[in-house]
Amino acid sequence: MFRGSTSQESEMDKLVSACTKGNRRAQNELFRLYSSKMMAVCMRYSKSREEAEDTLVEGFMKVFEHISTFRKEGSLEGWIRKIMVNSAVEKFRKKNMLYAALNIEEIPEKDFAAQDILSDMSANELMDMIQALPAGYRMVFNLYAFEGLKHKEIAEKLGISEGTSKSNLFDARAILKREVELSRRQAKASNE
Amino acid sequence: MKELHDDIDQLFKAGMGAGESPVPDSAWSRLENKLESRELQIYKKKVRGYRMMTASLALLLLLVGLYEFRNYGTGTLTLQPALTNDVSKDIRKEVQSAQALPGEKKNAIVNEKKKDGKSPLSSSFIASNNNITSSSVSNQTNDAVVTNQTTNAVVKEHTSAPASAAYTQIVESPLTSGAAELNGSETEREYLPLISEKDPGLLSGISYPDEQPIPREPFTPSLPPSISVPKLQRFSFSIFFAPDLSTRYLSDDNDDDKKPASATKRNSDHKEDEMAEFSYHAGIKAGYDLNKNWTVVSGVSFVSLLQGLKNSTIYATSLNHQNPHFELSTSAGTAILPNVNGTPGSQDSMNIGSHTREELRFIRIPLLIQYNLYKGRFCFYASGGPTFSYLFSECLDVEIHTASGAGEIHKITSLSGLNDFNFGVNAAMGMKYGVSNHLSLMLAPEFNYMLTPINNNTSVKSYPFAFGLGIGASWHF
Repeated sequence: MFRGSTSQESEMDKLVSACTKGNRRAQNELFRLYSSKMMAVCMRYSKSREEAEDTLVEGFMKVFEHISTFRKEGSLEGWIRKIMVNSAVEKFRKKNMLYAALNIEEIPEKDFAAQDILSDMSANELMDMIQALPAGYRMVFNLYAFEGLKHKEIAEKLGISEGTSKSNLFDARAILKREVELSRRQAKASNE
Repeated sequence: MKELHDDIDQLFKAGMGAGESPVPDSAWSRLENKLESRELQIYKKKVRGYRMMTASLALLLLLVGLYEFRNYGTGTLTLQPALTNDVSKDIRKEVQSAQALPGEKKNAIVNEKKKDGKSPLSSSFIASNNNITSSSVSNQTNDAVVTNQTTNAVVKEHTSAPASAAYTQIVESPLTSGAAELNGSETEREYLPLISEKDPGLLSGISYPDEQPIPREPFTPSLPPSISVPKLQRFSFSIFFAPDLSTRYLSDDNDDDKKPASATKRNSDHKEDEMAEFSYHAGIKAGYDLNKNWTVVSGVSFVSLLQGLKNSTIYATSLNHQNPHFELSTSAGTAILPNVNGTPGSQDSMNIGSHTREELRFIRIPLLIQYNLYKGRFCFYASGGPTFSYLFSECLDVEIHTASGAGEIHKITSLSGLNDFNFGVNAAMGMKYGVSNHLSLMLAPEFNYMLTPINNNTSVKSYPFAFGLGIGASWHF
């Protein structure tokens, strides 16, 4: 196990080293290794598959441009993932989105029980719900729920105030909650 | 309430946290194209830099080489060109008029001219040597000493007055084992036979009563490469060219009230998108020596600051305008782009290619003080002082990808947010090489920095700075 792990690390070091030198074959290998996982990350931050693909390509461009700065202290996957998230955030900021004021219907809290419905929903359905969120809400929700950032950090990253970040997260959760509940009701109705 | 929110977060995290999503095949080919384009861009940038450096060095070497070739190529005295060009005409006239007279009168006239010191021949002897600078034969010069490095002969010329005055030449040579004082007539005797050889008919009819053969061999002056005659030269005039590596220091403008609503890019975004390119400045400078060490310098120069922009995607905005449009924001200002693919919708995007360039052109007036660390044939100096720049033109060449995918270059000559006037500083460490008493070549690494931002009411404040290598020539008078 130990020897296998060391050998894997050594292979990864060689791959990183070759990518640093601009070896196209090594770059292709790295892309092949991580592109599926990173595509899932990009999908969460994007409105559509095309937009996610754009973010993925731009993110990998940055990966190859800055791979010489990778310090091997953490995992390569984590480092690449961070770059993808930053690319998505940058793309969002360049878009100069305005936060749309939405009318969010109040969902009764007693109707929602996450554990009960988890098994009923596929990853694709959840992805669709996130992608359907307004861009600003999607960003804040992703950064808070998946990346574990605090509101202060989110505000700095997105160039918004801390209060806006909090209200966007609140609204995003409310929308998702409503969507999940609707989905569950539809599923129940179809079963009956 | 918090638990409910955590439930939602957990639901999505657990449901899709470590998932994978299929990647379309086109993604790698798109990425590969971008990588190739980027590599080509870096390569071109390097080549441009090397070319400019090589051209600068080659130019400098050429100038030095030309001078050295001219200066050290020959050291022998050539009399014929001066005689055949202009002085021989005077002599010919005099000789022809003398030939028309009886023999005794001819000699009398010749002797009289010798006494007056009007010897065009001996003057031409001095002037015909290319290695003697004009100042060394100037009639205003009281005492010029010429040392012949080949024969160790020393020629002293005393001219206390303009051309009409008499002069004496003293020739000291180890070959003749002593010194001989030659006046005008003796010099003529020395060289008139040479003239006779060149043009036998020229001097026929002239004879000297006390003619004695003068040994010709010892006196073969081959003059030294340079003669230094100290002279006060306070003014200098220079022309220079400096390729610069120009970039910008950016700081976020936190004054949100002044910014347009569309200005959301921060300095980190601009740093990511923009690349320094080789720029240049060129112009003229005038200097005045206050004393041996201090010189004040001013002049005027043309400054071109160039930077490239990377590939990017921009999105249509309708802020500040009624219809959606595309704006390209750089660290200098914002340009409104033409709607190449028709009027855009509110979420439409446009791809900007890597051949996008932004150029700012300034007229700069420096006011510098220069301290001369060492002054000799090689002069080392340090200079610094304020500069005043006027932006007279800006240009943005944008590569816009059309719907068909082809890149088109569009020239935009107006960027909003730029300031007209700027204040900055210049600092340089330089070296001058004096190729003659008047002319020197200079090489000066220098640094220019603008203390005031070039823009206003934009998302970032931009302070351009540039490292340059100035090369040029100075004329001292």
